Amino acid sequence: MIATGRRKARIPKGAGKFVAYILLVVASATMLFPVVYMVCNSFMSSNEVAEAYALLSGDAVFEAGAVKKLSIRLIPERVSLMQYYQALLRKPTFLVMFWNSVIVTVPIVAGQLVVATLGAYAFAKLKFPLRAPIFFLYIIVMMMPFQVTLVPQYITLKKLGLLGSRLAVILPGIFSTFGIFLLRQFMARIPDEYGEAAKIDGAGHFRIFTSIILPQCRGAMASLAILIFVDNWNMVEQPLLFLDDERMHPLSIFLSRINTSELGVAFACGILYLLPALFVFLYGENYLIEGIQRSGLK
Amino acid sequence: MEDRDMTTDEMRLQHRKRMVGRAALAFFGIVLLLTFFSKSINNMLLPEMECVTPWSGYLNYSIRATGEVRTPFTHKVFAQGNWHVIDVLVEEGDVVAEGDALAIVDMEDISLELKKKAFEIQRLQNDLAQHQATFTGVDLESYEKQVEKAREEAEDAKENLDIILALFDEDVQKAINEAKAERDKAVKESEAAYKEWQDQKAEAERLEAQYNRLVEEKKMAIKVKNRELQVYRENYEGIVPDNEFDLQVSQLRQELTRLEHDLEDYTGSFKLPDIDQYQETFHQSLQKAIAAEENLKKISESYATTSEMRIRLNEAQKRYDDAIKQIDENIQALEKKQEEAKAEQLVYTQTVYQKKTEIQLAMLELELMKKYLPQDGRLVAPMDAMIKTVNIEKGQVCSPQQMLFELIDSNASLAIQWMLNPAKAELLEIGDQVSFRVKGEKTEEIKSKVEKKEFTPDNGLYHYASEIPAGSGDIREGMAVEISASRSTGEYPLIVPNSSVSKQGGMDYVFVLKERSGALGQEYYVEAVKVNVIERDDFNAAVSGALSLQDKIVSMSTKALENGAQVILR
Repeated sequence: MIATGRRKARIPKGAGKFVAYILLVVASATMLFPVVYMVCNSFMSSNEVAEAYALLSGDAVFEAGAVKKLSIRLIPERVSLMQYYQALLRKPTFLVMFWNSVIVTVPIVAGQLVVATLGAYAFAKLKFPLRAPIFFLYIIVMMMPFQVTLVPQYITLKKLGLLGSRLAVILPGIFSTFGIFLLRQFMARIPDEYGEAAKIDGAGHFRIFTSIILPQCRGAMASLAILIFVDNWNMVEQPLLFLDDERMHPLSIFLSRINTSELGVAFACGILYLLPALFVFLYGENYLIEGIQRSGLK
Repeated sequence: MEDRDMTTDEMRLQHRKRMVGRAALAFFGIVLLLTFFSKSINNMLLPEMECVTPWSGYLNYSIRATGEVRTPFTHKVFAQGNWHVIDVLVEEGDVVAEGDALAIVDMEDISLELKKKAFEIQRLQNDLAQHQATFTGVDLESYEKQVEKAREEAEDAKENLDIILALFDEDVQKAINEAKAERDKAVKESEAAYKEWQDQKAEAERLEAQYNRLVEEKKMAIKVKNRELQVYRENYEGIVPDNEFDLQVSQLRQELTRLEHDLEDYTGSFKLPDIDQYQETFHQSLQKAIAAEENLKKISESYATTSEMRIRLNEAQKRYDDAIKQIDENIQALEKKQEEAKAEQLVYTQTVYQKKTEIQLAMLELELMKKYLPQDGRLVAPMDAMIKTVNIEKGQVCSPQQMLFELIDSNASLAIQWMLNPAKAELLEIGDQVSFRVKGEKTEEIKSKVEKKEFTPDNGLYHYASEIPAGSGDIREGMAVEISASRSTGEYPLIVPNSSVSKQGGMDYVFVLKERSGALGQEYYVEAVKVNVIERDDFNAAVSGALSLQDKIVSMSTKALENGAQVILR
């Protein structure tokens, strides 16, 4: 018998794994670079930052007729805590805006957890007319970009007389549809037999909800809380549009403006701005992973 | 085993959560603490400042200096030659009366100086006389005569030119008129011949057209007759009787023959009139007209260039032009000589004046020497005075113009004198009121006016003097004086303290206090407003710019300010 088939090319064992690791390292480095860059630059003096990134603030430096190019620096000329000193001691605005962010974000997280758990329970475990179309409508609204609903929100808030108050930012945040969708997906996987058994034992819906469903949803609720916190901690458009008084603006707006006027403290402010979200994530990291896995969002 | 691993992981997780929780708490606690103290910290670090409002008014300049009481002038006694001083009879500080001897000098030296001066005068006088005798000036008469002669020649040439020009005009006109008449006659004949030729030509063309038309008509008649004969034969042969047919054919042939003969006769007899002779006549008359025109042109040109009269005319014109040119040249030469004479006369006059002045000066010096030089060798005081300076010693030989004595007139009043640099001197003029503090055994305070202001190039300062008014107490020469004066400017609408004006990038700014709503409530900040400093004194400055009398401007700050900086009021 004559062998006519081609011999398969042999790939060394472990080569594929090596390539995969390389790609993952590159991807991780790409994603981590902005954070590392921000940390490194936060230890530069304000003058060094202003000099290196003058282009960003429009103070371009001309050298022999040509505009000086923006230079990316990772190593400070002289390590300095001046940016942190400036941000924490010389900029009361920064601190006030930090608390503005907290004041806006915490009620949204708490409120949305309440609303989302109740709504999700209704969609997952109750049977009522038009349940599927209403949920479909929820999904449609969730899929819409924020900019689409901006004008209706503005008009509604104006009619309600809430424009200019923090409620104008908090209320739309509380009633966001994403939480209901996430938790509904999670609750739908809890077997109905638990509820039916409780009913036989004489439990009502509130009892079933608080004693059976909610304890099983702690992971999903934690992951939802993290996601909502990060989302609302970073919001810019809503406060800009709905809050006229700059004293109510959150830190996210302070940072968005810092490029032009106070570049010298931008990196330290960025780090300080990042910390609360980082704490929340680190604290609830296991819940987040678990919640996303169980809700099928993975 | 698995349970133990899970427990370990759970513990690690809990530990991490505790750490994160503590870190978060610490972070929020620090931020809360800093927020609580933020306003205090911020206010402690902000620049403290004081404000004033601009005002309208005057700037006041104060001038301070130190001076001395001195006499306004001193009398100086100078040596008039190389005198040998035999004895000095006074010392500095001595008081002398008019005519008192100051020193004794050698008489022989004095008489020698007098003789020297007299000789110098004589020499200068001789020099002047010699200079006057040798000066002759410039002879202008010959040049004036030459100009006059050239003018006469020009007048003569002009008369000659006028005569020749009149003759030339008459001769030329006669010849040209004859030539023109001949030309006009030839042109008229030519025109008549041309007209005749054209008329004949038109007649010939008309006759030719008529001939052609008649020939055509006759040819057409022959053609018709032929056709009639042919038709008759085709239609009537064999139908009508033969004789009748033959007769008719014969008649038709005869008529055809007659028509053909008629055509031949006509073409043979026709003849066009001869128009060539008219054309020839026209060409001949045209040649005559051209010849007459050329003749006229030739006559005109010949008179313009080569005729005898033209030559004579050209010569007369040239003579006249030369004469005019000669006049111009002679006048230029005369003017040049006149300028030279003027310059020479000026030099002569100046030289004579200079020499006469030198003589007068030398004579005056001689008189002074005779007047002040003691004939007996005694140098005396010209007035009652105090000896301020003695610059000679016994046995010394002094040089000419050396100052020997400086005397202070006993009757002269004292004056306060001081110096000021140019910047301050601009503010103090003659007639300005000045206050003095004269420091002696007892300090006297007096007021007076500036009497004298002079720039002294030696030190680049201005020298001022004021008289001491009568009754000012015991003021003596040499006392130190403190001088003070002030001057106000005109009214300015905006005056600010000098400390308010800061310079940045070559521009003057003042910082205006403003209020704004900040994160911590109402806060003060400063806004840099560009101003022009018009004038400033020691304390304030008059400015112009976008300021109002209601603005609060920073007069003092504990730290350097910049536009938009937050500040707190002290």
